[in-house]
Amino acid sequence: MLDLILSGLIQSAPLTLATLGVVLIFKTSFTTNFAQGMIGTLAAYVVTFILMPTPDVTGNVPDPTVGTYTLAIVIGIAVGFIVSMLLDLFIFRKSRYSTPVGKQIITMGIVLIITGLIPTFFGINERSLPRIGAQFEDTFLNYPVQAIIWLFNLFDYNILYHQAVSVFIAFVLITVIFVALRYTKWGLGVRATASNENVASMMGVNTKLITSMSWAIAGALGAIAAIMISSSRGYYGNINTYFMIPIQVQAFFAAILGGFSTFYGPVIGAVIFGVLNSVFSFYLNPWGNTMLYLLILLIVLFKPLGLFGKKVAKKV
Amino acid sequence: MDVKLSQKFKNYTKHPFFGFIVFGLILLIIPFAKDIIGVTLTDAIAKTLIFYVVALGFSLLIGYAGLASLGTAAFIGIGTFLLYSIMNVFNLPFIAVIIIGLIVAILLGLIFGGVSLRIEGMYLAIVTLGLSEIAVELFKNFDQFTGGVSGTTFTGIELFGFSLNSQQTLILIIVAVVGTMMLTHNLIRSPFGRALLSIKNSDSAAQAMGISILVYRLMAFVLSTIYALFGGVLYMAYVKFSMGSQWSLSVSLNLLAAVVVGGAKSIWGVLIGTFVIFGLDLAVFKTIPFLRDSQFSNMSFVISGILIIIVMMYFPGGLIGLFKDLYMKIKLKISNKKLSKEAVLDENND
Repeated sequence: MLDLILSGLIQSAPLTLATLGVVLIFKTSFTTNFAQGMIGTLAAYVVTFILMPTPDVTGNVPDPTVGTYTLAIVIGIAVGFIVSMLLDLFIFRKSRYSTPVGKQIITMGIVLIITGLIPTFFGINERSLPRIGAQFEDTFLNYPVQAIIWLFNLFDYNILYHQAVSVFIAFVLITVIFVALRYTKWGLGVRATASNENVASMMGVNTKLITSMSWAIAGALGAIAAIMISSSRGYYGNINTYFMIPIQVQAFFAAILGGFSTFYGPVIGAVIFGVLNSVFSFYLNPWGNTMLYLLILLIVLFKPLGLFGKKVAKKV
Repeated sequence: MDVKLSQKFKNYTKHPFFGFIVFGLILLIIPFAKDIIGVTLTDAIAKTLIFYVVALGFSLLIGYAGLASLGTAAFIGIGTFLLYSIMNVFNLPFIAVIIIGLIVAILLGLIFGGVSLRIEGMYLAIVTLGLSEIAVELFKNFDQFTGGVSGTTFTGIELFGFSLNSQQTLILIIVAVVGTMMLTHNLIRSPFGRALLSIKNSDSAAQAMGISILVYRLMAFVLSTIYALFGGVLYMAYVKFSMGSQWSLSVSLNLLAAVVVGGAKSIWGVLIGTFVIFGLDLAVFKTIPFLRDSQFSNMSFVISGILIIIVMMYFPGGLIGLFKDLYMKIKLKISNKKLSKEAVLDENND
């Protein structure tokens, strides 16, 4: 049982990032971005394209050096960042006054566009990313990763190297973003925009900049989550057009479980989701996912604002 | 006598159902002209018509309730497998399909719509996205009823002791299309439709008038579920093959595109949208070999996506709204010209 919980914790690492991205956009644009998973997919495709321009159909995974792999990942994250920011600049800034459902429909349109564009640019063959890990054993990343491995070994859990890397990255990123939300000007702006966009802009907060930065960071988070998930699978064909859709659904359900009204709620929701997912898929195979979604719906039925939700009073 | 007859005729043509019936009669040419049109095109038109039935239900949800759902494809899939399992596994008559289908659709709509709409309208899309994931798992694991990964083949429906061939099934589909058009028209103009519109325009004002937002939105969602399930039954009756993985998110998104692009509030608009989105996909991108086998086969998605965004941002009325605007502008210009001509004549007379 402890093993299952720990492996769930490890698996929730990319999910927390994806969920944080969903919440950032929800807070600043008051809609849920269905396209985040597809933006991540696009970024993952870019990374594989840099490592291996034509996919090897016989099933070989590329084997890059540390330098090229890091560079490719950075470019991939930048693609997520820029695409997401452009979406805000050219689409969502102009439709700020449409209803949340209208914005949702626009994000669904973006999902369709990226779904169609990926095979056009990258071909119809599946692609793959190698595991992150072994390449970084000689760099400074090794020390914190070894610390995580040691920590998990205390509980007699044998964590793999690439899993430890992803846990480390997720932990660092989430800490950085929460510190930024609490102590930087951007974070203050996000919180002000989240509580009331009009008043925030009257008080001198550049809500446009805050919103597009939030979109960009959410896009980058989606890209990191996508790269993490596909690379942790480490076999041929771990990247195809639809591989992020289940993650997107899980991120939304984690956010619902935690409640959209706070920033920390969805992230804790994602961790709970990961642990439950691991437990359920062990005991209730093959109905793990179904039962988990139904359980979350049941919880939401009794706690409509999520586990950590706060009721926001609204004046008419 | 003559005048009276034309007056009488005018009364009929003015009736809103007249257009629907004429449309149905025109469509009835297709099953009898199959040899001229060709099998591929006939199939494409039949599939598009089936998706039109689903899209009509979806337009109640998007256009009138102001909600978006991503579970439409899952409901269609459930409909196809319901028809298969009731008629081929349990060997029950077709009427049982309708009754059980209604019950299943109402239950599914109440469960998933009830939970999400209780919070906020925006949550419906998220919860139905989860539903579509659940449905994929269901289709994969209940292989007795769904054929698992490889899908199932259906023998064809029997109605009143006759087993229908594909031509007769197409006629049944056309009858169903005209029927759903009439039903939707009546629903929109009933107190139900007016209540939905008032909620969409201002939920606070609607609530103040005593309209329960939850109940009406839930009703719209349940209705769209029934339409989708029924569309699935028609699909299975005509195509006779269904596979779980076929009913993925992209079908739901294309349906959304069809409704939004055509004009979510208009029965004819949805028809135009469905033919633009699905007709384009089925008749162009899936039939022309050069496009079908290349990496451009998914370009229809790109076109639908771009159309959704443009329509949502700039033309909330959809294509039909655009046509109406154009028509009004031309009419206005003509009447302006007439007026100015009359003014000139008047001046001359003076």
